[in-house]
Amino acid sequence: MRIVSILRGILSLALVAAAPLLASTARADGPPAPKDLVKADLVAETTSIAAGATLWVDVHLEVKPGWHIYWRNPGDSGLPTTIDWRLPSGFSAGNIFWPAPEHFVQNGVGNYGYAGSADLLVPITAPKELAAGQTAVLKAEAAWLVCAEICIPGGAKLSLSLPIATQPPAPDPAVAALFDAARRQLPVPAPFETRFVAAAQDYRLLVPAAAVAGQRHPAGMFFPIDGSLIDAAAEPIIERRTDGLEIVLRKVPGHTGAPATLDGVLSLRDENSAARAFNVSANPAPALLPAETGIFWWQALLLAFLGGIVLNAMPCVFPILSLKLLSLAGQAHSHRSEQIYHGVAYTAGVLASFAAVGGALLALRTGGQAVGWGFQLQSPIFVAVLAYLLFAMGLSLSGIVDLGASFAGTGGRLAGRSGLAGAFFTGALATVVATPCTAPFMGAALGYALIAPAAVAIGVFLALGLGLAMPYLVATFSPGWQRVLPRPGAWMDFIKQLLAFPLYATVAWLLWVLIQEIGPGEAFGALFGLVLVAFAVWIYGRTRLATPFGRSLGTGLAAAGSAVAIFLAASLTATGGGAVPANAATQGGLRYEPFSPQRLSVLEAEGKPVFVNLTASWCVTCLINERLALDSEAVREAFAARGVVPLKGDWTSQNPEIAEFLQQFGRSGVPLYLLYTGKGEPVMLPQILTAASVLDALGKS
Amino acid sequence: MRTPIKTLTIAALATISALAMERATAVPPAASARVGEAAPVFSAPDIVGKTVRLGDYAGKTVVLEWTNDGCPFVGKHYDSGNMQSLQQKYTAAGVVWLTIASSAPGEQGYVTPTDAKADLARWRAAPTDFLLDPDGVVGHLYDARATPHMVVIDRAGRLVYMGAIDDKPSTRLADVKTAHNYVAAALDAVAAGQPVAVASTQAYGCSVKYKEG
Repeated sequence: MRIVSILRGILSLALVAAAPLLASTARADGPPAPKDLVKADLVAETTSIAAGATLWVDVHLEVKPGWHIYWRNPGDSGLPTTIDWRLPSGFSAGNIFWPAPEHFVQNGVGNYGYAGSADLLVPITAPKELAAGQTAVLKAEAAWLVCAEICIPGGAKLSLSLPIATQPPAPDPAVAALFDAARRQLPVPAPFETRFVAAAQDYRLLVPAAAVAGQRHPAGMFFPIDGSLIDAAAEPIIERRTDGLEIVLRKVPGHTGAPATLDGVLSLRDENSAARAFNVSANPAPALLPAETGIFWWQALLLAFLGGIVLNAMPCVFPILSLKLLSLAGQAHSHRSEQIYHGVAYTAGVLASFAAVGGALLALRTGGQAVGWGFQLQSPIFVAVLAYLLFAMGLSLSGIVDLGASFAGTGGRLAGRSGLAGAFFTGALATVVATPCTAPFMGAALGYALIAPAAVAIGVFLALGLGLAMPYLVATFSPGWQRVLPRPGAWMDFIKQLLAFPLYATVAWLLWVLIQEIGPGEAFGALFGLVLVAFAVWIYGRTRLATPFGRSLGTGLAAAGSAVAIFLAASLTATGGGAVPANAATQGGLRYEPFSPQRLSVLEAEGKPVFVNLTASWCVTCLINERLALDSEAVREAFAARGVVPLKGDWTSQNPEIAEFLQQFGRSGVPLYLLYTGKGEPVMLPQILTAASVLDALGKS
Repeated sequence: MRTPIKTLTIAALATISALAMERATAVPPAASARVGEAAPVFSAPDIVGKTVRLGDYAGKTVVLEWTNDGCPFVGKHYDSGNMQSLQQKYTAAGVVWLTIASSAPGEQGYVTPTDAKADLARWRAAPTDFLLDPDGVVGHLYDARATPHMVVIDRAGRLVYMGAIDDKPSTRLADVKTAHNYVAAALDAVAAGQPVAVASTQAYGCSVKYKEG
């Protein structure tokens, strides 16, 4: 009997011993047990909890190598990890704070999730009334899908007991490192603003330059919260622009409609640095014209060159050019090579000035200022000083003073250094005076210049300068035309005095711009400055033929007068209150609404047709277009009939919003005319408008 | 002065044309199935070796069901009997039900004809046919990414539903009863001559293990 029972005992023992072996061999053939794949722990940051306090807990998940679990948006397949809380009454759990996920793509199927480990942080809030001395038991049921080749749903029941204390709880040093590491994985709220554009096949997320400043090869990934928008299997395409990064995210095939905002996690990294994750909620940017229709660099150079030539015909530059040509005619019988030197010196002056202006513009832009072409005229001080200069030049032409070769190059000898220096200076002056006039084609070329690499940008400016200098340069090289003119005589003096008037007209216009910028009250300072300039010029001229003492006195008084005038100019500031808004309805003109990107988005969303007119008081082309085309009866009626809402953006003074908007369309200066038809992308109208071309564009829509 | 400009322009043009050749976009093969348009035609072998074409069923309502026998989401619908009852109900009404496996050989979810027959027997499934798509051609054509991926094609050959089988993405069997079944709703709408209310959803499930490239 005893042997049987012993044997039975041995057999049972053997079976018991063998059972795990049998079981494990069976398990080796089947799928792995869920608990081997994901280990879950619930950890609290503090050792106790107090009434009304918020406690952070970490659901720490360790995933077996080769397997992964999923983010809140799992992607094409999979399931998000969930936590179901069972808390004592009065306690509440907040949402999960997810660490930045990874992107997994395999053969056309994409997912967002975690390999290795993940710390899901959750804030638990204790009720205000809590009896101390007791223990709170926090229970959670975590559920996940863990996949490698196959997918296995899994879960764990977790619980945590914490004593209720009266004092504010102290952090548990044992887990401080864990929480610190966990927090570093969390995406932070983005310190920059992102926008998105919905194109036909993709969403383009626009990340501003500030976010990737100093990074040589930035790359990024966007994890959308809404899984129905973006194709999880497509890798994003990163495009570097001067105004930042454009991340092209392919839409889910067959997806229609656009969301109000694009929310998700943006992960940015540079080649040598770790990834940084941001929570972004991108608002829609107004429809962009595709960047691919931008021009090539050689086209930009060509357009700039042609633009420069045409600029000579603009009222800003015309007087200077005419005077130069006249002076050339005056020296028709002097040595030809000297003329050529003058032509080259003038060209050099123009090129140097354009390079300087271009360089200044680029430097300001890299520094973060939102400036564009014509930015000089946004400064009232500059406008005032320019007015003084031109006024003095006009007075010189009128005969108040003969400033000789150093100004307009009229009369006097051209030989020698002073002549060449004078030509150089005239070139510089021509540049300064030309900036407010935007010729056709210059808008696109300059817009391109400001988003191209610095070397190309300077090249565009130099091409513009070359175009501006070209007529005069050619004239100095081929003297044939000079023989057509009669010999120098009194007629030249008459022409000289006549040409003072376009200069006075330009002065009057600059004063008008100044009044727009700072208001009539403030502008009085500049007006009085003009009087001082006139006095300075007169006293200087009067004393040229006096005694040495007289000459010095005259020079001194002239200098003093000029100094006071400049001081008056320097004290001008652009004030918002005094300025006359350019969108005040002109008599019989279009009734504009003030432009803002927000207003435009609202009107676009409503499907209304909109006409955007970005202008500035100092932009002559803009003013001509308004007078001749936009304010014409035909256009006004057509707009009213179609219900087109006209928006006017005034860039007379600095406005970073308008500068950014201009840049989105590849422009850096005004005018810019856009017609939004209520569907599709806007139509950009040419820079020189006629009533017919506006009606034509309206008709085509 | 003219010749340098000319040479420069020609050189520039040459450089530009060379640079213009790039911009390869990294994008997976485009699916041609679009809800509301004609369902793309395909042909695939079935488990008895016969070549089956979509055109063979012209004039009939067709359901395509992407399956994966190791996937717990597919398991939810078969273990609960949900998928089989859908198959029986609608094939009895004249609907053609094609089950398709698009996983590549060696990958999870791949089935040989023998495996497929065994699965059908084990599940007591009743599709009209079981198609084998190891190259993933049909799968890519209909952008099947997660199983079960369901497609409904009406009698006129137009794609009227594509996406998930129902609105409860989970592996819990109990969810089958409380979920709204999109496929049943689409088939009922087609039979009644009504437009399908929900025509497109995102399928949930395990990823289809396509072959490389």
